[in-house]
Amino acid sequence: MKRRKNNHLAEGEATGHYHQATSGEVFEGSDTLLLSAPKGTDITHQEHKTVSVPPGHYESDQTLEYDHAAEEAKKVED
Amino acid sequence: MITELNKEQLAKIPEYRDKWLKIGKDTTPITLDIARPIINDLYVHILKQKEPLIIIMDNPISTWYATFLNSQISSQIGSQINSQIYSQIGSQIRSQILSQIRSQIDSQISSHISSHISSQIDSQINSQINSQISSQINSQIYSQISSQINSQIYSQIDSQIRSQINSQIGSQIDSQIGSQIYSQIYSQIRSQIYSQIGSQIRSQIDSQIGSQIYSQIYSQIRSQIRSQIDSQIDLFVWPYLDGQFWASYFGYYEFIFNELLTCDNSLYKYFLATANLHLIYPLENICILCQKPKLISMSNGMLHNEKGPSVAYDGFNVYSLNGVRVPDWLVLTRDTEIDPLRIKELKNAEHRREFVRKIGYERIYHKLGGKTLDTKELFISNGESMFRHHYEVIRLNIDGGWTFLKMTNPSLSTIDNEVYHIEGVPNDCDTFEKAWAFRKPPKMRQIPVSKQGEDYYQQGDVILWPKDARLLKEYPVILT
Repeated sequence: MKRRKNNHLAEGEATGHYHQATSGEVFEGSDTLLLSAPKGTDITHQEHKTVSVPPGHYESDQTLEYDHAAEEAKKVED
Repeated sequence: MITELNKEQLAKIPEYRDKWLKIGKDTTPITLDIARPIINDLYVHILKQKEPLIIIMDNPISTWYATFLNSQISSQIGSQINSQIYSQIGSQIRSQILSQIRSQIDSQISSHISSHISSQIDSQINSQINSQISSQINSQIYSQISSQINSQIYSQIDSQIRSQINSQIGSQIDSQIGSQIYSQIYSQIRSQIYSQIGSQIRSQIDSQIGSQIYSQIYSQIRSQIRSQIDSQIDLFVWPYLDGQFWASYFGYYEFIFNELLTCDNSLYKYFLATANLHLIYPLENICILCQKPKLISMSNGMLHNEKGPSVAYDGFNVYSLNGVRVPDWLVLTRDTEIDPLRIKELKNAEHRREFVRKIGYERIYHKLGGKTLDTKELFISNGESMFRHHYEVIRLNIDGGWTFLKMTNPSLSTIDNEVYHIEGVPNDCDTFEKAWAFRKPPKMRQIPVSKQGEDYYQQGDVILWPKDARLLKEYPVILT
């Protein structure tokens, strides 16, 4: 698996903001991201309040929304 | 070994942060008199080259075009781009591209570039370089504006093709500029500084300074301003010297050098001086600079201007509301004159947020014949306290009926001012539970929910759940 050195879980196209794990390691899995945080980590973002997750291994992905014009589900673009 | 910061040192941190934020946002025009000694020192002392010719362009696009012209690789790149575009894009789209290219060349680019280059070259550099640039304009004009092709037809070309083109341009510029700058600046300056800092400052103190000076400046200057300019110019290769946009880097080191330790930073001072400039493309024999913006408008650390561009250069603008780069019409049109139906044009959730924020949720709901299908209130921690999340499943009269989930933004909302997101859900999601289930990422959706399930977490549109979880709680334990 490829490691994301910047530990970004997602990046916003319109804002330049990003969700970032301040410790641990983020890897690109086949259909989700994998966060390995044996000591726990904060997830930071320029706009959202920080989320502290306890030690563990996590999967991460983005929520979906429905594009009525295209008639398809897609990951939320922000 | 410095192991802690004293009160006086701590008290000075805001001074450095504010000073470098000011430098990062500075809009004082660059003149050749200002730039010449800085660039000459950079070339002679860091890049180990002779003093270059210097030109200053008006905005990032014209700077990029001029860089492209001077890179002397344009014909090669042009042929690669053409072969890919022509082989992979249908004739219908191709004809659209070409008509747009021609109009762009005639109305904006050719006249813009040639007038700027010729006027500045005449007065600034010798005839040899003048002819070199001029002769390339006509023969290579199409390839020079390949980047403009892409931005014009951004929605019409497959993203894979775009990335191929981008990587080819990027890699060739990289090979000319990037490797040289990176190897010389990073190996010479950073290693020189790092080795001294590392031996004298405990890592804990280092990270404290980093979080209080570096990261706070970074979040405004680099992640806000730079990224929004960058994202607006497709195919644009950002230079390796950001000038004032490296304010976070410079602020961090200046504090260390002034307040904590003396350091042999003889080379660094030449690098530091580039903070007086803007984007810098240091090519061989010629250095192309971008003029600073005429205006940078921010509010609460976010790019924001409700009446015009948030970043304005001559000939290039960025429009932003509350840190979100938005289409210009959303800023320039009065709220009462915007047709609520235009919400269907906005594919980006943050664009929709600002659209709703500007013209008002109630007006959109009323004008588009809104119907509320279901409502739900959830009390979920935002990491500090329990927050009341209000959800509504609504259907708007757009093309026969589009269903949305309206939700409160827990991070931006205040008691006095709620900020809403509206995200599309399929029309068969007529209850909150169905809409909530639809929004889950596909892999997570397969995991059953139970009150005894494992905790999961959500920040905006990002969800984290324990790997290999067999049961998950119905809602996140923290939602921000």
